[in-house]
Amino acid sequence: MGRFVAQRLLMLVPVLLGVSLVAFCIIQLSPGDPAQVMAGMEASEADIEMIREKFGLNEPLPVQYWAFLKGLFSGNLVSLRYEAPVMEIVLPHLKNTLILASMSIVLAVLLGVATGVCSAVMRKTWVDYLATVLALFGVSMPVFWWGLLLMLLFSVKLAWLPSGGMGTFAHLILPSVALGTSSAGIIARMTRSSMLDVLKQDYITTATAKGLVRSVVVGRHALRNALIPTVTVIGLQFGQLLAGAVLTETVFSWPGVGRLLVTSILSRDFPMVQATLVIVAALFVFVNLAVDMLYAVLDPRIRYHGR
Amino acid sequence: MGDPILSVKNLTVHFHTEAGVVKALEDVSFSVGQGEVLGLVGETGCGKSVTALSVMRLIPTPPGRIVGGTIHFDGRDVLALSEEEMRSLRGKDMAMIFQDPISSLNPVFTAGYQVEEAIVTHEAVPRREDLIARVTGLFKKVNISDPEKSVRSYPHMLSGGMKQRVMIAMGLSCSPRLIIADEPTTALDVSIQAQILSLIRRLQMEGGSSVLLISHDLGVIAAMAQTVAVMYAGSIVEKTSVKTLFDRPLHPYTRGLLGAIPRLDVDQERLSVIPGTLPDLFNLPRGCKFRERCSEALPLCAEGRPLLAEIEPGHEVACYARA
Repeated sequence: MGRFVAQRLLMLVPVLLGVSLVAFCIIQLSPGDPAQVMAGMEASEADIEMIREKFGLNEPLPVQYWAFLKGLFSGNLVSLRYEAPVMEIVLPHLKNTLILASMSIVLAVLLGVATGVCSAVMRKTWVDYLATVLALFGVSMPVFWWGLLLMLLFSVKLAWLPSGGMGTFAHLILPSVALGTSSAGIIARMTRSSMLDVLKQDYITTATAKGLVRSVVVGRHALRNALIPTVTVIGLQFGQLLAGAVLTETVFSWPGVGRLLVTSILSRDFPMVQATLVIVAALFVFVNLAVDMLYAVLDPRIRYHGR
Repeated sequence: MGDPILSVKNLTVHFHTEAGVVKALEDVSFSVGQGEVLGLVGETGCGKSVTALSVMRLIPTPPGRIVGGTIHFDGRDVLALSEEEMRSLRGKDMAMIFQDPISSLNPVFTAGYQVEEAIVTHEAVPRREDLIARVTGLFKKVNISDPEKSVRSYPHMLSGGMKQRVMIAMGLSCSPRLIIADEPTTALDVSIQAQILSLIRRLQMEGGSSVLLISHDLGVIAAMAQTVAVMYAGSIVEKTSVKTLFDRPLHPYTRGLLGAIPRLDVDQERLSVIPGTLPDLFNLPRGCKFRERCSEALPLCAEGRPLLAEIEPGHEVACYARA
């Protein structure tokens, strides 16, 4: 297991280099001059040139990329907008996004797995059809629109929950529901199909023939096996959640890394945008590594050996 | 022998599929005496497994449905029991050993745990050490190598033969009065087959359980059973003692089956076979189901379906040509 983890962590290096290169290129290709934005509309050509000089924006691109990499890994990459080290700003935002994403994934897993299991066990009944409709609804709903609808009902009409910001647990509910809905739908569909597959297996008949109660047959013998493919989807969904966080955080003014990314793009804060993208990519890789390790817990046939 | 432990009368089971209704069983009747081994023999798809699953009430419903007949276990009407009562019978009074040990054990639980589960479902075993000791004892009894280690092994770490021994240990764990063994050796290779069969036989004699042994292999039946029922296309066509069946088979199908066994002492150019194929269970022909393949068919055979009748003491045959 140790060697497996070490190998996977080593693979992080080329992945992050690739992500940083892509992020750098995209930013360079996108229109807008950060020096112009920072200096303001009224600034003279000389002022703008001075800013370029100060932040190294007039260097050749490979030199700029190298400076970015050095800054990123030494921790003294400086944000153009805040004029402070990028990490000092990204990390607190990242913590907020993790709170939101974790809550969303917990909701999505609880709701998705429960719905999927009920669907499979009550296949071709109204429960199954209803669950299918709800799951498709969840998957197809654009997250920003769904978020606005939730806000309209629970904050504006009913005034039960705050419409935005961060502070109490109540602030967390609407954004995490909005963000988790589509993942819940996908997890429900995945759980349903893997559960249907597992319920047909011979060992389920064996379990029933032992005299076990249906709930034990389904909840212990079937679910444990059905969760193996579902867990893969959960890991990948985490990536979806991080992408969805950009929209959700904007809608609910949640001070997370997604909203930071949006404001950084708007203010052409290149180092911040690039650093955020690389950090989010690293996070995604870590989550999927955790998922792969979870397989070994769920399925005794899987043991990792380093090669 | 006293009252039979299991008595099945006129059992009829249909499967409702999108392609139509499959008449899997039709008027199947047999009984298993206390301590008796009844062999149920027939080719693939003739309804042997459906019979076994029906007795345990494990037919997947839908699509399967028991449309007629009765099943009595130890004097109780199995088809009238509540699901709760049925559950207390399964695994405790009647246990099943399945055909494929590889797919019949849950891959994510240890072999020991799966046997423990069968015990704690039916009995209160307060101390965990007692439970483990009991499972280890069962593993020893069924000759599993290194029982202490095997209880902690996952199924994929055990061989096919060892897995079937685990299944047998599971079946025996609560000393059932009836063991249903559905082709227990089909998935195993020949040398292991013999070991497993003699194990089942030994345990049956020690424990005095009755056994419903299902097989397509007449050799297995000859070695294990006292009484045999031959099934064809969802019906029993002949039922008698093992000795009589092999000495003096009466039904043309049974004769065909026995004749198809290649003999070492006779020089045969070609294997003898039964002409034709199994009838379509979606669309059974009128009259006797074996008529189209039968060399002795009478005009009467196209009219009605022959029922099982005692032609000589202890020898029942469903055939107009023998009546």
